[in-house]
Amino acid sequence: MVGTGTNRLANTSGSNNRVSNETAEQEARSDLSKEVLELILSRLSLIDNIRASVVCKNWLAAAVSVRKINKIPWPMDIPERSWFFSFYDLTQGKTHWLTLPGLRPAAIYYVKYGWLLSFDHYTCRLFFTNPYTRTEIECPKLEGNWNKVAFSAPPTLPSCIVFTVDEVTPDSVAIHTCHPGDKEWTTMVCENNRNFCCSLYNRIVVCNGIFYSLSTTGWVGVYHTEQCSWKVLPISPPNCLEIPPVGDWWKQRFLAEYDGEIVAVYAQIGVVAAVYRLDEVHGFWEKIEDLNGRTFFASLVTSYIKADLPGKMGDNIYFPRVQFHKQHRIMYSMRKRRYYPGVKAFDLSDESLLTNFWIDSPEGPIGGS
Amino acid sequence: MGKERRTNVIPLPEVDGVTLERIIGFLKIYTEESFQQFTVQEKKKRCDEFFANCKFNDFLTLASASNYMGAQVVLDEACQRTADMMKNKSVAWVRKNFGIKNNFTPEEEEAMREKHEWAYEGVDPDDDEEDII
Repeated sequence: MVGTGTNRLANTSGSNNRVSNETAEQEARSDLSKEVLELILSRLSLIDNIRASVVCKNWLAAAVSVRKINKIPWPMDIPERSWFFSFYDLTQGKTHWLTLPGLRPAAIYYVKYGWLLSFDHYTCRLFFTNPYTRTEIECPKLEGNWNKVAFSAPPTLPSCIVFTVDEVTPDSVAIHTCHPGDKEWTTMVCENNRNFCCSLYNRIVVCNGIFYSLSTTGWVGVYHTEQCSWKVLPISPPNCLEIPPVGDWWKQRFLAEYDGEIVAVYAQIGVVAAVYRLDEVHGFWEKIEDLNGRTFFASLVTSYIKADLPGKMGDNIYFPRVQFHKQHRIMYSMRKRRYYPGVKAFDLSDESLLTNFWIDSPEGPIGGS
Repeated sequence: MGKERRTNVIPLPEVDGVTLERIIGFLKIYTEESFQQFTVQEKKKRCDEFFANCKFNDFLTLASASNYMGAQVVLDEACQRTADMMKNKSVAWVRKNFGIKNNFTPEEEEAMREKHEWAYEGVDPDDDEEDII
């Protein structure tokens, strides 16, 4: 029944050839089965999916059935002197408070999948907390570590690996890894390149079983969990001329990943931002002007890149801020190359911009304090 | 004596000859498992070779045919390439290239557009010169 134009040509005659050819092709195109249509629509981003739903009634049903809308993360605030942690739900405009006594005076090292990885300096206790369910999962004790620690998966999964790297000598580092619930860490000493410095301010992302650590020097150290190998990538930091290394410039760098792509944001909040993609194949940081419609959520603790968010959030970088009765959203538009609100509208010395962080919102309603 | 000779021919009414040959050609070289052994770059290279010179309509024909025949790799790729071509295109573009008649009333369509106004801005301009069908 369905044929290409050339097959149909044999069956038509005279001057009707061209018209029949087009009609046949139209039939071929519109004859997509529901199954194939859904397979195609399921590969569209949210915004393309929404447009597809207006094409016709069949398409509306198919598009809605495969539509995926991701949730916007919540900015979370670490209180200085209380046990009241606050989260701000951006979509509903609501603030939630939770008392999480176990988290004070711990430092939050890493946040992902709705789990916080915290370190209590007094007891050397390293542990996971899910602030929504109040569950805690222990890690082996971490003696006197002042470097960044990260993890690769929800701590409830056996595949979760916790990772940190320590300087032994300027030419060697110790890689410490463990699974949550382990009795002790596994340590491996590796050769290091002096370009890479271990620090609490390093930024770490994990993808495909590989930990990428962006040092404050701008060089990237890579740890392969399967091969148990460490190397510093021979890729010079981006030459970011727009941002002078003044003030607390090392706090205004952020690293995130999506689909295996590593993206770094160099910012001077309120003034300028430059975004780079790590091109490992060609060995350089490529400056990029957009995120392909995705959204960057920047924080010192952990940054994320999210796709398929509702509303006009594509190609923006959001900085976390949980403050009452004030502008909650501070963002940089990559397309417009400017910050919103404008510089004068917010206080650049506001520390909370750099101490607040993003956390994935809960699946259901969260418990009260 | 006019008995027809029986042959082992199974007619596939949903798939035209050209497309059938193409998909069979692919399946002769790769099985589902053997294809998955390739790296991401290798997969892309082989798919690019297979889909070279394909126009939009070809993707759709290949998608429908491979779905019918259960050729998963071709199906996935054809659907992905179709979706890639649809990226950031207007509703009018999609209707034109898929040959779809709008069966919403103007009021219904307006109501739907209002619901997600933000999604209809900034689409690629519809290039009439570019004939991708």
